[in-house]
Amino acid sequence: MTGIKTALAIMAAAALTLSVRAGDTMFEAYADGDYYTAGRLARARLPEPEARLISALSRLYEPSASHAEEGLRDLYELCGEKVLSPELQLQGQLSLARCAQLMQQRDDLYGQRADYVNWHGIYDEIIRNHPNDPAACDALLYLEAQPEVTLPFAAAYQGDRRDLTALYMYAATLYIERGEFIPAARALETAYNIGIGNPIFSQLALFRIGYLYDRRGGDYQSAEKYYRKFIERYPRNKLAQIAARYIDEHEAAERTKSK
Amino acid sequence: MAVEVSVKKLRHYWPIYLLIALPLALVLIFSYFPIYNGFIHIFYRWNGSNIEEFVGLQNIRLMLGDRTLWHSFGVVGLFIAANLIKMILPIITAVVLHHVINDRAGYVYRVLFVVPMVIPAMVAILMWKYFYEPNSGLFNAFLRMAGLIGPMESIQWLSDRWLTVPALIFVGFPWVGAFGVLIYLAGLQSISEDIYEAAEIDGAGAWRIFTNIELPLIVTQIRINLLLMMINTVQAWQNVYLYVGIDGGPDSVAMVPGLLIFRDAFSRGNFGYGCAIGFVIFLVTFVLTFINNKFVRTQK
Amino acid sequence: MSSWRQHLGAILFALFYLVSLIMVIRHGAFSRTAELTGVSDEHTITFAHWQLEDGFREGFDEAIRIFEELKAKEGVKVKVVQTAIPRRTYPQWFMTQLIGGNCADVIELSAGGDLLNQYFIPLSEHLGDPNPYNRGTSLEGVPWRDTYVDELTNAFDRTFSEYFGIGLYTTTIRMYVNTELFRNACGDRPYPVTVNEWIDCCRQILAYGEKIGVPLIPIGVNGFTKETITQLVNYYNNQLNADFNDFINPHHGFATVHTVVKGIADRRLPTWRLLAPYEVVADVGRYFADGFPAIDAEQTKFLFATGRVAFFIDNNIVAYSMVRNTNFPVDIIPIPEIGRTGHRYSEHFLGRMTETGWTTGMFGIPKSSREPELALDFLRFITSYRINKLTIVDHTKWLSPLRDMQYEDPILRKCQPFEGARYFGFAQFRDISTLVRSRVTQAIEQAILSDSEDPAGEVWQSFIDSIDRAQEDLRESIVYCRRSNLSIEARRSSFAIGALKDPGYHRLRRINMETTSQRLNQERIIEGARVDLGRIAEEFGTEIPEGEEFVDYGR
Repeated sequence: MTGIKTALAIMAAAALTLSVRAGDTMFEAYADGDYYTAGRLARARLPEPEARLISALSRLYEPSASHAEEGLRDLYELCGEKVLSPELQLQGQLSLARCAQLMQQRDDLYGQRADYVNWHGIYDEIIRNHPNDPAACDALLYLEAQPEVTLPFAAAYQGDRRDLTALYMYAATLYIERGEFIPAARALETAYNIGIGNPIFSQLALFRIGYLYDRRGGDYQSAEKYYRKFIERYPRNKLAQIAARYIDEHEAAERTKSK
Repeated sequence: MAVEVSVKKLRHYWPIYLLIALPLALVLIFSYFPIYNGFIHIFYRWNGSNIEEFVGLQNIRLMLGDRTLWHSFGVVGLFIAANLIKMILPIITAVVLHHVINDRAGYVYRVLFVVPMVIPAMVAILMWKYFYEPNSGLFNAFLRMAGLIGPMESIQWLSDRWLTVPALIFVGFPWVGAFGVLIYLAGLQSISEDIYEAAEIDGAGAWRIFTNIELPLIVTQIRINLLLMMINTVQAWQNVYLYVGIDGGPDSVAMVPGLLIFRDAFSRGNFGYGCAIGFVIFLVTFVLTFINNKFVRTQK
Repeated sequence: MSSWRQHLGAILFALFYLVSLIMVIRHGAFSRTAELTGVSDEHTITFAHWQLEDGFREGFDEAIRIFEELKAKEGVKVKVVQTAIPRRTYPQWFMTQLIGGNCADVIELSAGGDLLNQYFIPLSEHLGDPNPYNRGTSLEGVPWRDTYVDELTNAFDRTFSEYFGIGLYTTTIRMYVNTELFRNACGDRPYPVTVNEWIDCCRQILAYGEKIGVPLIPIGVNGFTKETITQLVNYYNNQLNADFNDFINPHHGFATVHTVVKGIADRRLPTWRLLAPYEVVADVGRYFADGFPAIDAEQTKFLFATGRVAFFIDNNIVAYSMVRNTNFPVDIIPIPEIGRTGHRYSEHFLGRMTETGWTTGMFGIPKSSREPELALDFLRFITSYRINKLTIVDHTKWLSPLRDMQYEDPILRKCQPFEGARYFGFAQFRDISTLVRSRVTQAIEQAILSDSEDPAGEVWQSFIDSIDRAQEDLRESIVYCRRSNLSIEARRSSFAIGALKDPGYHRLRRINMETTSQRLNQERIIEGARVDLGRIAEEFGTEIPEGEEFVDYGR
């Protein structure tokens, strides 16, 4: 009997190890964007909550509209049951809201079949209940909230400040659309100082801060250090020549004024 | 002749049906399924790979408002009319060849007509492109030599909007394709000598022999050739593309529906719209075939 | 007849079948089986492209040999198989390879956007690390991305904020001069530097042709694909209008096509100046070959080789064959500029634009690759300084996209990209949709052919006539934008869930959100452009609108 129990215990341990490995593989495949494999592995482990989540998400992101609708329905039901771990529940809700929002935009494809999801409410709930989680930053961005809402949120944020760069960048965009260029420059400056992860955006932001201060806001003093920093960091970039021209034009104008 | 087969006999002849089943399956998969697939995709926004979205009648609405498409059908109509006229010369050539008295000479002439068939179509197109080249091409060189245009002048055969379509029609001159000649010749050679003798006795001249004997007896071949000509003309686009480019020449003056499909589907990734145009081409071909069958009668 | 003769056909069939079976087993199936079962320790990767030009394959054969030897020294048996596919069939072959999951491990890209995201490995995470194969060169320790003159700007996919391919070479446009013909026709005068000088030379060439009774072609172009006429319009548009970048787009320091259309609709851009490049090209176009729209590059090269063409515009890729394969001397010069004096548009001339930033020949690694690490290693290898110089510069005689590349060859020095311009290239209104671009190009061609007195008017007319269809195309762009948003959200979700197991994914998630933040106003911009097109059609019709003096925002 002891032998049988030992054997059963070993088998259970093996099964657990295997399932963890398979689970890891399922998450790995999903993280790599291989939704087909992730979905297949998840369906082999149904009805585990994690497997249901990955299965629903994998269907949601397939090109087929009918699969996407099924995935949305599955995700909606799963999120309603609240059987997932807190982190996965949050991610599930965020994906549910964002996909429903995007599917409602594509009414030519989905009609009203995503209307049952109150994505706005889900975003509000995430922001309210998890104000220091990156998911809240994402939710705020997806709501396309105005700077009057996002900047105070960002100031109070206690998570990793790098989660806020996207919010500051979008705030800059909204300020520009309103014609408020100095606040736009400041918002972009904040994003840059925190550290924009995308190297192209980071490079461009350095130039844009100077451009917004100088060419839009009329504040050359604030712009100059950004022009010079850009020229120093990216001397071969085409925009470095433009920054150099802006400096030369300003200096020429100053010389003319002093004469 | 088709015979009804009883189930008992079917059980006996099952290997034969099994052998037929495989080619039938291949025909269904590679011939009929693409047609069905193409028809379905008329109602889709489709880029040929990962984008496939149902859009209802959007492609058809676009098609109805597409002036270039309707112009292209006009161009095809012109090509069909021209090709109808071009069918006459092979018939006349076949009749002349048929009446060559010396057998050896007749054989030599037939070989001379067949030899150019070995030239690949692409080579022929490139040759004609060279002929039409305004600066050093054969036609302009000839016209300069003949003093019909100045030494510094050139006619822009494929870039002038009034000349492009006539130039494309002129390609292949004298339009005596060996294929057509041989088909008609085979038909003429099946006419019995007795009929000719009887006609001569009745005092029929060459023209009457041609119109009352030879032409009616080769009308089956003419009808087949006419049908093939119309289908090929409606579907053809490769030569237009090679001569004048993907836009169909100056102001798209020589645009044909097939080239429009190629441009919109393969160049712009608009496969759904291409399928819609393809379906219209199918309808046009179907109508032409119907007209051909109804009005071109064969006489036995 | 003996029985073996009666069955001769069947015997031959069986024999040939047996031979082909043996060949397949020897060259394909067996080695594949060995690879799959792990019996063989040789790692094989395939390198596929469409470059059939002289020197390319030979250069890479040598590079492959060096790579295999290097790997052998490290104790890894590697075999790299190079495959070249003709250009005409390459796009179709590329698609079938992707869909079939049987793609080469390092393959030249022939698609964009969604397809790259779906089928190719993102390379961004590797681009911040130095390329180890640059050890001992001036690029040692430099992040892989920064070893490129343009920092791989051209390779950056803006939809997904990702790099899916790395470029191998760069191109520039030059003018090839039949110096013998030029001297005979134009005497000792220097090569033309400005448009006016160019036109004057062309007149002299035509006059010389009349004198000797031979119709000469002053300017040979690639008319069939519309390449040259598009390049020339871009060239002069940048020289005349690049200063509009300074104010027209509030978001950046450079215009996008949507902001140009808005500028026209708002009457903030003097439209006559946007049409001026077409007038310049029409002036120059009078000296193109007769019937140039139907003449392709091969025909023009033939005419050039027979000594009938004085100036031939094409990219640097043909430089060597142009110089070496003609029996008269050929020189290489930049395309003439507007010039600071003498031309009616000289007042607006801003100088030549910088030519860096055209890195091309992108190679990527498909997700279906069975040897992604080795493929990445090979990609680093072929984009390293020494090997890029060996393959692209020394063998193929093209231009390298890498920094610090020195060209000893005088031909390559003449093709080297021009750097140091103080203005950015300017977007064109015709690029608002593919159809508009096609119609406008046809219009300028017709204006040239018919020697029109008002080429700008004809171009404007074709633009107005295409507006309905352009608006449809922009509606489709909005659909594309929304579809991409879902793909981007899928990536965010992948990275966010990945981050729960591996914190390294946090960075990717943040970058994804930064991309999203830059895209949220895309639809508004495209919809705005659609509305602006309608305003242009309604308010201006075929009359070229008078732009007011531009007023800089915020000052």
